[in-house]
Order: sequence, then C-alpha cells, then structure tokens
Amino acid sequence: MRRVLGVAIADFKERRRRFSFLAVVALSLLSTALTLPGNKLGMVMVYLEPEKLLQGGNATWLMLSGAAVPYYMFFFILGNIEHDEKTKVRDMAKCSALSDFSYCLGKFISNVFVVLSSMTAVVAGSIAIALIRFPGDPIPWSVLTVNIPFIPALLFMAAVVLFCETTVMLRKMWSVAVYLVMVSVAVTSVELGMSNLKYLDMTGLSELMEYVRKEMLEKTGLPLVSFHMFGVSSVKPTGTKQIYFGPWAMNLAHAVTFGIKIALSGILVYLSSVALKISEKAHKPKLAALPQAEEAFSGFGTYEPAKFISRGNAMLGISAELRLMFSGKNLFWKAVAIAGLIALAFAPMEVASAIAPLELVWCIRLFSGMGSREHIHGTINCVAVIPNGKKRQMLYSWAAGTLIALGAVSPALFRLLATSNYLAAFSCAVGALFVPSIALFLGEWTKTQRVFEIVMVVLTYAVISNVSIVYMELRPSYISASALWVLFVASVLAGVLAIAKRAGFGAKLEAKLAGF
Amino acid sequence: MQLKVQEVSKRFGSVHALDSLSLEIESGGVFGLVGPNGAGKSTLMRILATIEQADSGKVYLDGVDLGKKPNEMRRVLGYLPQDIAVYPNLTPVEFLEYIAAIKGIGKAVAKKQISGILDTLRLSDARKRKLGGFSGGMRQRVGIACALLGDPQVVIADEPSSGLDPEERISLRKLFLSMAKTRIVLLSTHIISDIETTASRMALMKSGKLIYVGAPSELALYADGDLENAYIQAVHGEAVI
Repeated sequence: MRRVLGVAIADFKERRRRFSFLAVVALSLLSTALTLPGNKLGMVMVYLEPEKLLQGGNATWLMLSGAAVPYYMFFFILGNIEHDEKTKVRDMAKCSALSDFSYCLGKFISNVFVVLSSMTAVVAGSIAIALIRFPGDPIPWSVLTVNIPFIPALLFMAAVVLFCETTVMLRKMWSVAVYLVMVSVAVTSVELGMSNLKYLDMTGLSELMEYVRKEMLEKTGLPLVSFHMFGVSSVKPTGTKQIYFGPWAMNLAHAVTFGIKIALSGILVYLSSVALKISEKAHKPKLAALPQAEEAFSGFGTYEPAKFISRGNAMLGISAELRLMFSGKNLFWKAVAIAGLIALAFAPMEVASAIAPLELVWCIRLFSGMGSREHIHGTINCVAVIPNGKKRQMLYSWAAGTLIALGAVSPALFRLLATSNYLAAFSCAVGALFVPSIALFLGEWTKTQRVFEIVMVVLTYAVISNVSIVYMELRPSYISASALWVLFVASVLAGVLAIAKRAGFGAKLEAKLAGF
Repeated sequence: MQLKVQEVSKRFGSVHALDSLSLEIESGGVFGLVGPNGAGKSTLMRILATIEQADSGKVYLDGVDLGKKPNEMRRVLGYLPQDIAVYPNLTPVEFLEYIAAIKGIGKAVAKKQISGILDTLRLSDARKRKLGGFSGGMRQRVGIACALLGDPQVVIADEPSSGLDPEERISLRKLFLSMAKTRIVLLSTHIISDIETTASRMALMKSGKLIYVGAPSELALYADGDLENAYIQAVHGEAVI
C-alpha cells in the first residue's frame, strides 16, 4: 500500500503543480459563478408542469454547482499514463518491484485526488459566492450534502479514464467517443427513466435529478419536466416562486448504487492493469538498427552555410505549420474526416448543422497543439532565438488553424452562401475562427492541450444536444447577429492575447503562479 | 565579431544565478565555458541567446545592446539548447524544414542546406525515420543541425557533446574548430577534454561568478599541466587564480 500511495501522491503533486491545474480550478469556480441566480449567461432553472418556470433565487441553488465538474474533469485527468511514458517514468516503474495493478491503483487514486480537489474548489466557491450574492442569508450548509452522490460517480469516472488510458485502442480520439457514450448513458438514464443505466452514470446526473424531482414535487406539488444549468436563452423564467432546496438524504437504493459504482471502479482498475500489460506488449516500439552501428564512422563532413535573407515568408510558415499539424494522422482519421466533409456537402442542412461541430471536434487534435505544442515538446527555445520567431510562429499557427477549421466546415459554408443564407454562413465562419483562436489562447496561457479539449468537447456536446448557444449555430431562426459579433470579437481578442502572451505579456504573473 | 557581457546579474528567487558578470568573446576561436552544476552556465548561455533577460547589466553584440535589440543577435545566431527538443512525429528533414520556414529561409535554399547538413552530421540514412525513434546521440545531432541552419555567425552550444559517442565528439570538436575561424563559437561543457582540445579561451564559473578567464593551457599550469586537476582545485578554492 505504501508503494501505491507513493505513486498516487507523486502523480497528484506533479499534476497539482502544473499551470493547467490552476486553470481547471479556475474553470470550476467559473462554472459556479455561471450558476449564479439571475445570471443571464448560465442560470439554474427548472421547468414544472404546466408551463411554470422557476429560476434559482437563493443560495441553496448555488450548492448544485458541482454538477458541472464531471463534464470537464474527464479530459483533465486523462493522459497521466501517457505523460509517464513520455517522461520515461513508466519505464522506471516497469523495472521496479511495483506490480501493474499497484501502478494502476496509484494512478486511479491520483485521478480521484484531482477530481475531488476540483469538487472542493467548487464547494468553496459556492459558499464564497453565496456570501457575496446573498449577504445576511444563512449559508445552506445542509444542502452541501447534495455533492455526496458525485463522489462515487467521480470514482467511477476516474476508473473509466484509467481504462481508456491503459487500453491503447481507447486513447486519443476514442477517449472522446467513450466520453460521449458515457455522458449519453447518464442523460438517457434520466431522460428515459432507464434506472439500470444509472449504475453506469459517471456524472452523478441521475442522483442529482432524482433529488431535484423529489424536492420540486415536495415543495410545489408539481412534477418536474426539465432542469437547466446553462444556455436556456429560448425560455423566459417567471421567477414567481422561491424554492429552497433541503438536504440530500441517503437511502438503501443510493447505498446499492454507490456500492455498485465502487465495485465497478475496482473491477475497471484491475482490468486496466491487465489492459496495460497487453497494450505494452502489443505496442513495443520497433527500432531499426542505427546505421552507424553497422558502418565504420568516418567523422562529420564539412559545414556549408546557406546565405539567406529572412523576410518572414508567411506562406512557407503557414504550410510548415499545416504539415506539422497533420503529422502522425493515420489513414483511418483521414477517412473519417473526409466522410464528414462529404456528409456536410450532401446531408440536409438540419443534419449538417449537427455534423459541422462534430467534424470540428474530430479535428480536435489538429487544433489542441496550437499554442501549447512548443511548450510541451520544449521547442520554444528553437523558435525564441529566431528574429520575431515567437510571434511569427504563433501567427502562422493561427492562420493554419483557421484554414483547417474553415476547410473542415467549407461544404456547409459554401451551401449556405449559395442559398444566400448569409447570417448562417457568417455564423459558420465565425465558429471556424473561434475554434483555432480559443485553442491558441488556451494552449499558450495554460501550456497544455487539456483545457482546450475540455472546452471543445463540452461545447460540442452542448451544440449537438440542441442547447441554443451562439457557437456553430447554422439554423437562421436561432442565430443572434449581435451575439455572433461578440463571438467574432472574442475570437480575435483570444488570438491577439495568445500572441501577446507569447511575446512576454503576463510573464511576471506566470512566474509568480509557477512559484505557487 | 565581438560579444561583450557587462555587469550582468540574474536572480531566480533568492538564488543569484549570475552575479555582476563581465566577459568579452571574439570570433576566431572556440570559447569554452566550464563550471560545476548550478554555476550559472546555462543561464548565461540563455541570456546571450536572448531567451532570458538579465535583471541588470548589458550584453552587446558588435556594440549593439541586445537587451534593446534582441533581433540583432537572433539574425546571426545558431543556438543548441541543453535539452534537445524535437517533434517526435516528424522526420529530421521535416523538422529542419519547419525550423527553416520559421527562420524565413527560402524553400530551395533550405532544401539544399538541410540535405548538406544531414550528410555532414551523418544523419542521411535516418532522414526518413521519425524523430521519436532516434537515440539520444542522433537527437543531439538533429539539434546541432538545427543550430547550423542558415549561416550563423554566433554559435552558442550548451553541452553539445552530451549523448555523443567518443568518435562523434571528436568530429564535433573538429566541426566547431573549423566554424570558429570566422565566427564566435561558445560552448559550455562538463567535459574538460573538450575544452582542452578545442577552446583557445575559456571561462570558469562558480556560483554565478567568473573565477578564471584565459587560455586553458594557462589554467592547467596551476596543476602541473593537468587541466582537469586545475579545474577541480579552482572550483574547490584550493588554487588561487
């Protein structure tokens, strides 16, 4: 057990000290702020039968903020075994007395530590916001018990992530697919009332909804139709009645669900250790013999310098960035991307509007290296010693990313232009600009791909779930021109801030945070 | 060319990485920088390469203040960092083409030079292999190739021979010696024999300060011609220099 805890604590410390950890904690606090009653951006509200909408107007609603955590933590905790492989820490573990199971268990515990830290930040943030927003009101401590059902759910999520990582086939794009399936399982269990699926719910949504339903029925006598956390711009809350949530109470059914989730987590950790062994055997790198080991070494040749005048050739730079972004993409990935383009060209526009964000999320790995790649691989020093290299490389990367995003949605864009749907075409183009801009911004500021990937997947899930938000909305009746302009300006600003950061803006703040 | 370091200081928290350090380096011979770990060699290299800014003091290249005009150095610089960084999914040709593109070297010029540099550094046979599968020594040579792209007049190499086998190290010394005839070549190393056989001038650093600047042969005189012993005595304060 000492070894397991050793792995867990070292891994947790390594992740806690990354800038991205602070970014995710900040994201957790932001999600808490977005659930603030009366907030036009997010707001928490319920829709009761018949046609009665209630919006949160007291601090008890704030205590439900933890519901958002599982949706982005999946991607944050993903990748710690890959990190060990890159840093060769995995090799050290392999040649020690540590068993694969102990290693996996340690990683699982570390995953749990990370998600619980984020959850703690949300709870603390909820209390702080309650104090600010409702001064004088007592803090609803008892309602904090609503976060208890999230703990076994997060445990299960930590195990699912571990399984995705240890099974090479489920890495990279397939982990996105696993995430979408698992979230769909949670939503389906709530929407269709399929109670057996709740045992596979890694988001805690089923328990949360059961609690909200019970509370609504008890306090209003009306059945709950739906519950919204974000993006409900198409409905108007009446806000006529205050509902105060009460404490969450554990019953036998909960205990059974929790027990099953914990047992499933244990099974997944064991299966992960088996999968790790199989994956590592199946994917041993094939190293060819080095040429100089076979031939007589005759020394280095003579150096021939190349005279050139650096004019900062943008075309060369952009094409180099494009080549870099597409490097390592296999045939299967390309085939799916092309299939998406064909679907965008020929599918009915209603369907195409769901395919466009999916096509962009399929390209997530092309964008997620923007801004962060140089930090992750350490090539930032190669770029830094070139005249204006840092800024120039960022500009090339931004341009290349925008070209890819526009290319990915181009069939839909051309169709909208051809049918004079200029507002929808503008929405499509702005969405395509938003993706690389936010990738560049988050990549440069957090020095990791993870935060962008979380934002992108959650955003895509929201869009394809018909949540009315401004990103990639191709149905003219749902598009707000003013919101689109805001998104356009925000995208440009994100790109500019990323380049400014690379040029040195915020370096002092970063140094302070690194010290922390 | 002349590189002049004037009263440069750099702190990291409470640690004085460089303490009011002054130095002059001219083209026409390899300049070696030695010192124990944590002496401040890499910090000095990074400041000279314009990656870091000094807290105080100035660095001049041919009279131009690099604190104000870092691009003057970057236009003529070939820099080999201590930790070679590459993109594992690219081949050496693709990686060098990428760096050449950011440097602004034209496609045809870059293609010709990359082919030549890969031949020079005996990497041609591995030109189609991904960098992720390269050995430490091969990766080091890719880093050297990266630093030599274009026509650098100032070459700053931080521990360039780490990971190289003895034959490769000797070849690298020869390469640097031939380059140093008309350029500034500054290399930091822990391998005293590299300095002994290559450098016409050297500096010995300890705790952010220079404790010796001059010819390696003169430092060796403090230990009856044994440079390694002279280095150890100097670092431990047993020899008064």
